[in-house]
Amino acid sequence: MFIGLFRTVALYALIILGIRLMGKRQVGELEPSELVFTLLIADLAAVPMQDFGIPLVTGVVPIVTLLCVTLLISILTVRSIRFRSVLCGKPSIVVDNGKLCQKEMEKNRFTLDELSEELRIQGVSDLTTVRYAILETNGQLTVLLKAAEMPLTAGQAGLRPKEPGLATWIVSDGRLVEENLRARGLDHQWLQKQLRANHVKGVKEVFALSVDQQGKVYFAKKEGRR
Amino acid sequence: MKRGWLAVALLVLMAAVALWHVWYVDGLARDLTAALERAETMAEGQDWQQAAALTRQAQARWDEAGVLLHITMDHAVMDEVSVGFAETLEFLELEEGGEYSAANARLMERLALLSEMERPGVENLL
Repeated sequence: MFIGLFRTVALYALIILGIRLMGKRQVGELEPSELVFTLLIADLAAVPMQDFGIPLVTGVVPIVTLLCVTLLISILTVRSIRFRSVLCGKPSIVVDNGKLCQKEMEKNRFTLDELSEELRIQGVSDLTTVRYAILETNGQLTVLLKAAEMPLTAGQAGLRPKEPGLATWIVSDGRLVEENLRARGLDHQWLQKQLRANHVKGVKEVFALSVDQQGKVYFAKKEGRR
Repeated sequence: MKRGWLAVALLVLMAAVALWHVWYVDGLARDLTAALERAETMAEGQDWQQAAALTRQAQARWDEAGVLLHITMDHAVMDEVSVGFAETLEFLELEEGGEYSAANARLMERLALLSEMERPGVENLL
């Protein structure tokens, strides 16, 4: 038992170190500690599950240990900036004012092809329009365009469009969401009006019906089964 | 932070239980080995009945600890010791001196390995 506890902590630390050394690109959307936890937990659970000769405790102890250590690590990452930068790394600027930061790219083993791909995904075709491209600690690339290249906003144009607010589902797949209807200050009478306006007899014939804070309604009738 | 303290408490509790388990297995293995050594001395003096009684006592103690050890340790290792006890007792009943001595030595070695397996030494930790 004690050996299992010690080995779990040691291997967890080792794999986190490995993931950190592999760089941000390997992490995906998770932080290193979360990724390692995800990688290990399923395997740990599977071993005593398939081999009845191994006590359940040998699976439970490492899983509980990992849960506790991950929880402590997440608390420490919130509380200490230094610990966070050691564990998760720091964001790297790979494009600065349209110029490639080759050293940072090399450090993160981030190739030009990968950068081009990420830029294309974000709708950027010209590198010189980029003010900053930052490789985040979770492996994602944040692209900030130069001020002159940014799309004009309504505010910049001096316009004051109405806020549409959040749309809420009133009917979802043939089922009425009473809670949302009440939250929007609407009633069944309003709903019946909407149904009549869209030529349906009841909510069962509706696939989706939403309304935003401006009262704008989105309606989708249920399609017949194929 | 409450969750953090809970995690620390759980880790400390698990470490304490694990260390108690090391101490328990070590003590059990030592007691059983001592009893088996005494039984061997009796058998060497041709006191087969007394040797068998001592071995049965040790076996009973082992069976008592069986439930806990089956929860915490590899079943294959546990089964080896159980088989070892049955084998040793059989040779004692047949009064087969040489075979008994070899079986008893094997059983004592298995118990020593059982205790060693749990000990937090460098060889196990790494």
